[in-house]
Amino acid sequence: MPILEVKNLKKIYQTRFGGNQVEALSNISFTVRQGEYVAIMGESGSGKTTLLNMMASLDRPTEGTVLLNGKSYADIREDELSSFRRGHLGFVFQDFNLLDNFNIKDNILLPLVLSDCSRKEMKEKLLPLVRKLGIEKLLEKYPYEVSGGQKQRTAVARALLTSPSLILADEPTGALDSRSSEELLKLFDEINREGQTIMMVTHSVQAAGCANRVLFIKDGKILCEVSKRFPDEDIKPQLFNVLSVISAGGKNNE
Amino acid sequence: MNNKLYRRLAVTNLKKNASMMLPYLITCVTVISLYYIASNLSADAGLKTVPGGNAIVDFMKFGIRLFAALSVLFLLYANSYIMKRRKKELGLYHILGLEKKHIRKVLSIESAICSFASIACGLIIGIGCHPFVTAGLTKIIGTELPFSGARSGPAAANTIITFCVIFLLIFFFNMRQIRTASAVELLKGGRLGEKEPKANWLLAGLGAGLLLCGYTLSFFVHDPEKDTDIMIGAVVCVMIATYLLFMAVSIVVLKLLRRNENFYYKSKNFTLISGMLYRMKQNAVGLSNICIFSTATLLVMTTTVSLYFGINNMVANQYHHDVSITAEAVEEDKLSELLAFIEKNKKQYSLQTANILQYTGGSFTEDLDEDGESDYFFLMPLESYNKLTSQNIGLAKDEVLVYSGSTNVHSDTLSFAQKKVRVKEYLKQFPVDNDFSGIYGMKWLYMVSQKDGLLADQFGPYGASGLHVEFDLTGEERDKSDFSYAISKKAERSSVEVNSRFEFRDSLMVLYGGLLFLGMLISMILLAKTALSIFYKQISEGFDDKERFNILEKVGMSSKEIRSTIRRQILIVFFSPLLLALIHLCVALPMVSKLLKTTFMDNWVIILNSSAVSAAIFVMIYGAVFLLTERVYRKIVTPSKQ
Repeated sequence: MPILEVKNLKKIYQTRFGGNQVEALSNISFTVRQGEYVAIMGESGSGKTTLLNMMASLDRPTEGTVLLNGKSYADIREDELSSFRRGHLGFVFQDFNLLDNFNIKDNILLPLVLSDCSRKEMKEKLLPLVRKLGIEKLLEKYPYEVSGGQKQRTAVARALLTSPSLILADEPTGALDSRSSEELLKLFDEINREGQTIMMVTHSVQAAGCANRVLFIKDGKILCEVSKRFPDEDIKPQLFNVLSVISAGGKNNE
Repeated sequence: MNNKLYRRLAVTNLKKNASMMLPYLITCVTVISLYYIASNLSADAGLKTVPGGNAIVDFMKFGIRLFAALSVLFLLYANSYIMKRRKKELGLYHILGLEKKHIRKVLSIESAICSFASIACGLIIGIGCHPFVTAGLTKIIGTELPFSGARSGPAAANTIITFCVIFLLIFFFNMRQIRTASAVELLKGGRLGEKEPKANWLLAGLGAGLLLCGYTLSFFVHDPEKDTDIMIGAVVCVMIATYLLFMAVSIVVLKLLRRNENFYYKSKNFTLISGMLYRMKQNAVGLSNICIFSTATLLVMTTTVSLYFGINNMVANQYHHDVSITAEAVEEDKLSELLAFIEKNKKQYSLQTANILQYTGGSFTEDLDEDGESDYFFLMPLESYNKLTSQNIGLAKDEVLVYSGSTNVHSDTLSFAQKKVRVKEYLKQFPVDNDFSGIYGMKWLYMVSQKDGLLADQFGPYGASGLHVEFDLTGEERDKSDFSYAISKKAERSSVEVNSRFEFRDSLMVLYGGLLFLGMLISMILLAKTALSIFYKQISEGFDDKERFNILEKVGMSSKEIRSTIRRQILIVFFSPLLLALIHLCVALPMVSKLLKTTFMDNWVIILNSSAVSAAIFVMIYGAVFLLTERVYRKIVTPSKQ
């Protein structure tokens, strides 16, 4: 059963005074099944962030539909969208998006508080999660007092707290040093093994190499995809190959 | 060629920042036009010829100094907000290759344009409004003002020079900011991660204590002339307490709320409380300033309005009859002459005299109780008393009759230096009731003694026998007033003193009308500036909050929730200083009423109404600023859909 279905997605941006139209996505379709770990690779400007925003329901497509658990985003009323997002999606961003005026604990609890959960439920969910992520000692600290890796783990905790159907990660290793990146990827791997579906946008081969399936996107279209044939297969060489072919193709087009 | 580029850059900058600059410029124009009007009035030669007009001129001179000082303060403040916002833009220019001296040039062209435009607009509006203002002033003080001319060169020159200096000052301030900032700093524009504010229980306790102390002290003011120390103490306490309230108490309260988990972890409180914690840290001083200025505005409005509308009350408290005439005993024939004049001419004004009271006596000071404090008393010869009361009482040489208006109990013997007199009787009532001291609440002793008694030696046979005539007039108000003036005019060259309610009322109208006028100008300026600073504060916060609300939306806060959080946050930031100012005003009212009593204004209803009306007007204008600010703020903060 597919968790996420993207059908014929199209997005056209219009410059403010009519004029030029920019097609950011053209006719994208794919599905993500329960428990999958999918990466989307592409250069900057390829449309991958637009695609992610569409899947996150932060932006509405010009054409096409996105279905999560069989429910189309288009059928959800504007004012219910945020609570839907809160309940079904978890976000991990490149720049963490933690709020400086909340401590780590409150940052993690934010989605539950917005859903007006009981204190008991918050406590029950928070403790095991932060223990697993190794940030239980940081709970009273503020984002500006902890390292980048710790911030990202906080963001992961925030994303996982509501047990979402899908984690959307936008360049999660983009602002991290190599050691923290590695730790984070290991963490993603771990939660994926526990059954969490993950969708990650990245241009790092290192990061994409951890996914089961990698979609390549360029100029708003999916060019090809690479999948692992067995769980621990190293697909990085393949990814490098595809990337070099794509960039060579780009040159030929010029 | 190059200069043209700078000019174009400057003009584009101004256009781009229009929404940011406009409130600032509007305030500048308002202040400049008010400044021009005040300085024009202070220079008006015609005004000085009106009786009491000098007071207005003095008020206006005081006013223009105050305006200038306030302008420097507030315009610098507002300008620093604008600069803070523009730092990023200037940093970008810097990175793009404009040197600091180029930026300086662009900025100087910008401020030249702004200064010229606001001074020109201000003057035009000031000159345009001047006839209406003088008409208004004439109506307020109820006297036709012989204004020399609507336009005044010196006043305009004065305005131009003053504001050129102020704008130059602001310009140099901006220059210094640019000189000291590096390009990276300019680009960042002062956005740094801020530490969470610490709850300072000591300061919070001190703030609460001082507020209580100040409030309590204000109730201990009994006589404003004697208790100035207490009054100043109360004001200082409340001012410091206001700062501490916003700086420490607010944070302590918010932290306590946060510690209450069942309250804090609710969607409607969660972001609000944590947001407010940071708000308060950055804005405590600004909010306290706004609170203090609001209080000052409210107090100025209340007192000036009360004074103006209390004029009838003051007149009634100081004059028990329409006309009172006093003359030295030796001037008896002059007095009779004047009385004859009144008798002869009253028909001509179609008036009647009534309640005529004629007596002799004089007022003195002596320590009657030998308690080290002077007692004031009015000494009346027995003959005059018997005549007034149609009695025939006899007194021994060392005997007196005493009527005490106050509750103070005096002994049966009173001492006059070495001499002692016996009080034969404490009277229950006295035919004469007058205020000779000009001090509110001062109760006199009325004393009756033999003309050749012991006291005659002390005060001389004539000392105690000044001649007094008091009477009321019945007829049309207009005629009464005219006749009063005619009587004074008749008595002008003699030493006979004529006082009338009508002349007194007219002089008070000029005095308090002028004061009310100044009060209105000051209130307008304070209000404009309070509104300006709170507007800029909120807007600049908006830019900081934008990021926060952006994240919140991504994490799953709906735009409806964001809107309601924003609204409540602005409501609190906006109305907490106003609320505190209103509380200050309420607590200060008893003290204000005591102050007003020094001018014989003791009508509670008028004071209450004046303060209520002032507060209502203030809240209304403040509310309008709130709505405008909220709109602009929401536009900045709400994440825009692509």
